[in-house]
Amino acid sequence: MKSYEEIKEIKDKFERGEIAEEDIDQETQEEIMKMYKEEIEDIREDILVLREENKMYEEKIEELKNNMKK
Amino acid sequence: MGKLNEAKNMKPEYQDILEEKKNINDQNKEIFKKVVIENNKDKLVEDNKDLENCKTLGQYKSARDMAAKNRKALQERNEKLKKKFGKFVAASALIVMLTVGARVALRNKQNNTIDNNNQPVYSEKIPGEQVQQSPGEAELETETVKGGGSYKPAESPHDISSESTLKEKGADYTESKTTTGTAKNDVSVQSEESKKDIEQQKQEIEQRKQETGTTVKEHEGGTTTIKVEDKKEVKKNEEKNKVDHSYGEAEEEKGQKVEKVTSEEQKKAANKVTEKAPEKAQEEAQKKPIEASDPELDALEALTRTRSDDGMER
Repeated sequence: MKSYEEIKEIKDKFERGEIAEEDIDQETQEEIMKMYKEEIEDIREDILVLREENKMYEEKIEELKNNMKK
Repeated sequence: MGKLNEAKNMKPEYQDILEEKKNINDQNKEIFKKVVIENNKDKLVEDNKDLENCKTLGQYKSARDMAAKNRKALQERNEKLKKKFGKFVAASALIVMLTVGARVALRNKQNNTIDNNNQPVYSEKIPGEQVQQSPGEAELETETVKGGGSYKPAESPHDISSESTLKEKGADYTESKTTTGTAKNDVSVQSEESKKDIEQQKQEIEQRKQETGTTVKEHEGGTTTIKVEDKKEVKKNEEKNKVDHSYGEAEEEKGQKVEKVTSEEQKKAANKVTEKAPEKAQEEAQKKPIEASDPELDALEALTRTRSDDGMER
């Protein structure tokens, strides 16, 4: 079994196109798939937070606009 | 030195405060993130189920790249919204400061314009109030209009409304942007014309004086009228006056003569009285219509009369 560092190094090589998918063994591929899944989940969480934040800023700007009109 | 040490001691405290503030912001962000994730947990689970459809490393990679791209776009939008929000906050703060400043200035103005009775003094013009003007301005403000009487020019020199109305009414007037200048010119022209007229009248009067006669000034209700009379008529009047005067003088002379005659007679009589005997004097005195009974007194009176008539004093 490969360590987290070794799997991450193989993943970086795959992303840079240095190693093809077929050259990576099945166990390492599954570990890399898990890492991608966690990354995507984190990104989706960030996206949700950013959307909420943007929504909040838009609402505040509208409030200020209304106050300035008054 | 004490202050420098205080500053040195204050600086790490200030840095600690800044770090605490940053930590609080991070904590708030984490709390916000957790709250958002908790609220959208079901949606996230549904979205993550789609990842089960990904079977190869390439599919996972493309899904992650797409999610990262979306996140990047949202982050850019978030930055823009933050900047916009900061600008709006600054603008609203500026507006608030301006309004507050204006109110304070107004209050200060009102406080400064309080009279001795603690009553606010308003410098605004009351409608219908007459404003005092210097005599020069008052003269220049009314402008004469040919055939249309006089009109008051508008407050602003470029106000065409009054001019247009006059044009519509058919009044003939001289267009001018600066009303004061034209008024000045009109006044000067009028004064020059009047001066010329007066000079002409004076010259005519002097000519008449030289040709015909003298001038006589008559005052009638404050106005002086100069009359020219012929020398002949004046001479006649003077002669008349002379004749009358001479007539009076002659009468006076006659009277004097009569009086003188009487005085001479009285003198002679007095002399006679003095020369003649007292008996004759008494007789003459008795002849005169004198009511006095005492002959001596009568003689004395006669004497005094003659002396007073002569003006002689003994």
